[in-house]
Amino acid sequence: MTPYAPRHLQKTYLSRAMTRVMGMDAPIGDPFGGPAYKERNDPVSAILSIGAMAGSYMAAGTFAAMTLAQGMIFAGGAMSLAGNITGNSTLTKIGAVVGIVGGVGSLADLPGFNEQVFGGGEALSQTSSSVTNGAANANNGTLTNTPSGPKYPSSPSVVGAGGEVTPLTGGESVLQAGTGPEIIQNNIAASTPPTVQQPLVNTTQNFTPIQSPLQQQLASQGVATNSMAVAPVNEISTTSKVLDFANKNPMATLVLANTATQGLTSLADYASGGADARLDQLQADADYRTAMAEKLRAEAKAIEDRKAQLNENMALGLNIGVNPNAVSITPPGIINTYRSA
Amino acid sequence: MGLINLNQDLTPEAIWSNIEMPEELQEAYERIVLAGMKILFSQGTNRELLKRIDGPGPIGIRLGKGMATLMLLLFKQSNQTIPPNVIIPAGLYLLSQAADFLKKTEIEEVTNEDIADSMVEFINMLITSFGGDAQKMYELFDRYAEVQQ
Repeated sequence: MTPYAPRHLQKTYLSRAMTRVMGMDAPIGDPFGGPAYKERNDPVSAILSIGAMAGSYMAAGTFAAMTLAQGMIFAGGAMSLAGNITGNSTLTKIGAVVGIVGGVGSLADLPGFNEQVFGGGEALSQTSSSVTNGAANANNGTLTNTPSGPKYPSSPSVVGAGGEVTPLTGGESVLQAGTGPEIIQNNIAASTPPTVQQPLVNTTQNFTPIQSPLQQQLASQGVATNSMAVAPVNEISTTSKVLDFANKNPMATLVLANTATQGLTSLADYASGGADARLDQLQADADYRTAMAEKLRAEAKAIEDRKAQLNENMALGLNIGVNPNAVSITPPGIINTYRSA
Repeated sequence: MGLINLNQDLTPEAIWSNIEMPEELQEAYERIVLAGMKILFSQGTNRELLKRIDGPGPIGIRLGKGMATLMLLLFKQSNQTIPPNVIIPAGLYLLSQAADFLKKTEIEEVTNEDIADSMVEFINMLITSFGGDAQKMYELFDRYAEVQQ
């Protein structure tokens, strides 16, 4: 006979099914809280699925894929640190480049970065047919491709973390320490920079070229640069505002992205992804509640069936050892407590 | 950042102090790190994750692949609502935590070079999983670095 134990001292063992249900309210990896999206995995099930995960999570050229690379800018210091301590040239290279780029703009400012790394090919050349004036809402505009690449200063220089350009004069090494990763540069005779194919360049009055601080600095020194980014009269200038821009200006979004269908679909979906996810969560909740209601109905039906069977048996005079009229008597002073196994 | 001590270990604290997140992404970054730490160190999942990292080959490669898979899992579990530009910084910090754990528990011998290799493997795998070409990225960086010199 199981000895009696107070409720607060009793152990309760949860089954995997129960922990899985508990995992619904505290999903793994959801930074914004809320029920998991169509997933009912507890942490153990989630980990067991690690080995099954493979393949691409984003199509090439999507906004999210390009945004992933931006994260290297934030971690550039850590990568530089690791590269410098261990002598890992790859990390040093990444850290140095993102340190320069991150201080003045984004990886999108690197000529051809998005197209070549995430576009699966060479930088695209695109021309759009001229359209009527629509600068106010940015749905229309004329964009032409001028394939001359950016030009670089003829004298070697160092770009600091804050974007300042410091020309070097003959022979010295510069060790720069600042808020970004350290950059060690030796003065090397300037060589002719490669001409890089730019995908789109705005040459119309309906659009305003967006220039990064580095490009503005170079422009002030008389170095011609081509901006890859364009903005309508209603200015949209930073990456973080692209989603708002995409929502309001789908046609311009199509032009900004390299491939029309992919760009528009991915940007629009990404921009509205939160709303879709919430709607799907509500649907998932509704489905769950429906399932619970079905389960309760099934249990109620089972009880009804048992009662009916019992009554039938009694009518047939079968002795099944149960007194349907039994009354539970509770002696005074004893608290009825549910005991688990 | 100042001068670098070449003899220092790549500890999680050193990695944390060298990751600079913008203010608007700081909260998301901390949440993802917290979620990843729960998976790394909670009783039910720690062993499973270590089993996934275990295997033949250099520890740097295995650790980088394991952490990349973990970040992709988090991204998938969040229905792709994690800001993608937080994945790499958070993943590098979690990678350093995992390496530190392996070192302190003496499950594996992990050196600074192994951590560096795992970082490279981590980035390569993430870029590839998101449809990019890591090799082209390095070529582009080489060209850019040459031009800047």
